[in-house]
Parts: sequence; structure tokens; C-alpha cells
Amino acid sequence: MKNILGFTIILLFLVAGEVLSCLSGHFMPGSVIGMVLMFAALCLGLVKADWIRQSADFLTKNMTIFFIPSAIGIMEEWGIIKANILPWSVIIVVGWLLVLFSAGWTEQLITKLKRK
Amino acid sequence: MTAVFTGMPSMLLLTLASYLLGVFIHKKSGISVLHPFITAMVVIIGVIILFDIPYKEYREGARVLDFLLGPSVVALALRLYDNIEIVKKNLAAILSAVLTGSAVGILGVWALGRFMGCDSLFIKSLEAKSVTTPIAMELTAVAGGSTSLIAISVVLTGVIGAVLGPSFLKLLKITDPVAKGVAMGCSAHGIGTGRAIELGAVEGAVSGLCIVLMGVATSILLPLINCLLGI
Repeated sequence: MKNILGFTIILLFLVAGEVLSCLSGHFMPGSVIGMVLMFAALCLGLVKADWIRQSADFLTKNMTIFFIPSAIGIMEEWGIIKANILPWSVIIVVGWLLVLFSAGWTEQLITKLKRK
Repeated sequence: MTAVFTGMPSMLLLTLASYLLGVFIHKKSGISVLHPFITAMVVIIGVIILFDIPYKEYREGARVLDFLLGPSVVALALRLYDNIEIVKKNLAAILSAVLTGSAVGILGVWALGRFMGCDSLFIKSLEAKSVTTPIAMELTAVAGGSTSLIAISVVLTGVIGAVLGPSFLKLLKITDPVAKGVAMGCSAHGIGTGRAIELGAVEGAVSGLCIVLMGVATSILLPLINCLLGI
């Protein structure tokens, strides 16, 4: 029963998130709002981690599978990639490197400043 | 009879079996570029072309998997909650790093795209590429980009991060364990985290919570930046 309880709670927060997303003019995706609400509820002790752990682990561990169907849609949009193959590769590789560098360095810099 | 082969059970079977094959090949070969997702995509595309199944029918059959994306984003809250102590200890550093990484990620894609003369639709379909796929797809859908382009781009970013990440951390002199985790999690989400776990326990935990923080930061920054840039 525990995974049904967990899944029910997760769906409750997802629906709440979708409602707020709708009311805010879709500024943020409903699922992200639901996640923020769930995090707040866990911190406040309104939801016990134990209640959702089984279902949450199942969902987060298998996330890769859930987005396969949309990625297959690339078949239909192969044209955009083919037309932009060079910019696409550059953006993926250079974009990745920029984030790795900026995030890593900011963290190190602030930790060093704090130690001084 | 043919309806059976394009129904929900068959499409689900095809997706899950292809993924399991991918996991098997990934484990046996030990080649990190052969991420199970990539094998699964090749096999599924091969099968649906071979049997002449329209993409719409495949997507319709596999829609139960699509549905699980939303709940899995909500479930990420637990990962953040489990590592709350690490966040508290390094709050200022982690939050600034995530915000910087998120802004650099979005602006980087925009600047590179503009520089190379890409159109706005293409840029919008890549801006969220440092974020975990389910969140990236939702953000891209809201921004008006292509969700399949972002899905495959996010996975490729993750694979590149997992393969090249550790050597670039050394090269860029990112040596602090928390900083390594932040860099891996922010730049290469879940796939990068898989590799960060191999670097150490702190690296893995920090990388895992950065996936969530990066998702929230980008959800806030992306619409704002798009609004400011007027795209």
C-alpha cells in the first residue's frame, strides 16, 4: 500500500502545482511548482519522507525511460538538426563547458572567500 | 491483427525492451558513450521505420511513459530533502554557483546561437539543455521550442559531461569536492551525477541536489531572460 500512498501524495502535489501554474499564467511548469511545494512540505514535516520514498525512488531512478517517447520525435524534426548540425554540436559542447566552468569556479571562489 | 502491434502494450514492450538492451550493452561494453538512452533510441527508430509505424502511433502507444515525467519531477524534492545538511553548510556558495551556472547556460546558448546565425525557434529549443530532461521539456514547451530537440540535446549534454567531465575538472583546476559536484550536476544533470558518484560520496550527493536546484533556478531565469532578450 505504501507505494499507492506515496504516488497519491505525489499526484496531489503535481495537481496543486498545475493549478498554481495555470493561475500564474504558466510562468513556471506545474511539475516544478509541485516539487517546490513538496520540498516545503517535507521541511515543515507535513509529509514524512517515509511515506513517499518507495514511489519517489521508483520515479527518479527510472526517469531516463520516461522521456524516450518524446526524444523519438526527433525523427519528425531531423530536418532542423540536419540544417543546423554544426551550430547544434558547438552549442552542446561549448555550452556544457561554460556551465561546468562557471558553476565550479563560482563555488570555489565563494568557499575561498568565506575561509579568509 | 496489425492493431495489436501498434497498440499500447506493444509500444511499451518495444520501449522497455530497447532500454533494457541498452543497459545490457552499456554494462557489458563498459563504454560510457553507449548510454542506454542512445541504444534505445536507435533500436526504437529502427523498428518503427522497419515496420512502417507512424511516429504519432508510437507516441500514442507510449504515452503512459510521458505521463510519468510530471510525477518524477515532483519526486525530485525528496533528493533535495535527503541532502539538506550539505546545502545548509554550503548555502551561499552552492546557490550562487547554481544561479551563475543557470544564467551562463541560458545566455551561452543564446550568444552562441546568435553568433552562428540560428533562428529563435532553434535557440529556444536548446536554452534549457543543462537542466534535467523532464524539467527541460516542460520549460521548452512553455517557451515554444521543440520538446524532442531538447530531449535529445539534454541527453547528449549529459553523456558528454559524464565522459569528459572529470578530465576537464582537472584541467580547469576545480579541485574542491563540493565544487566538483556542483560543476558536474549543474552542467550534466543526472547522467553527470552518475559519473560524479564515482568521484566520491560528497561529489555525488552535491551533484544530485544541484540537478534539482538547477531545475528551479532555470525555471525562474529562463522566462525572465527570454523576456529581456525579446525572443
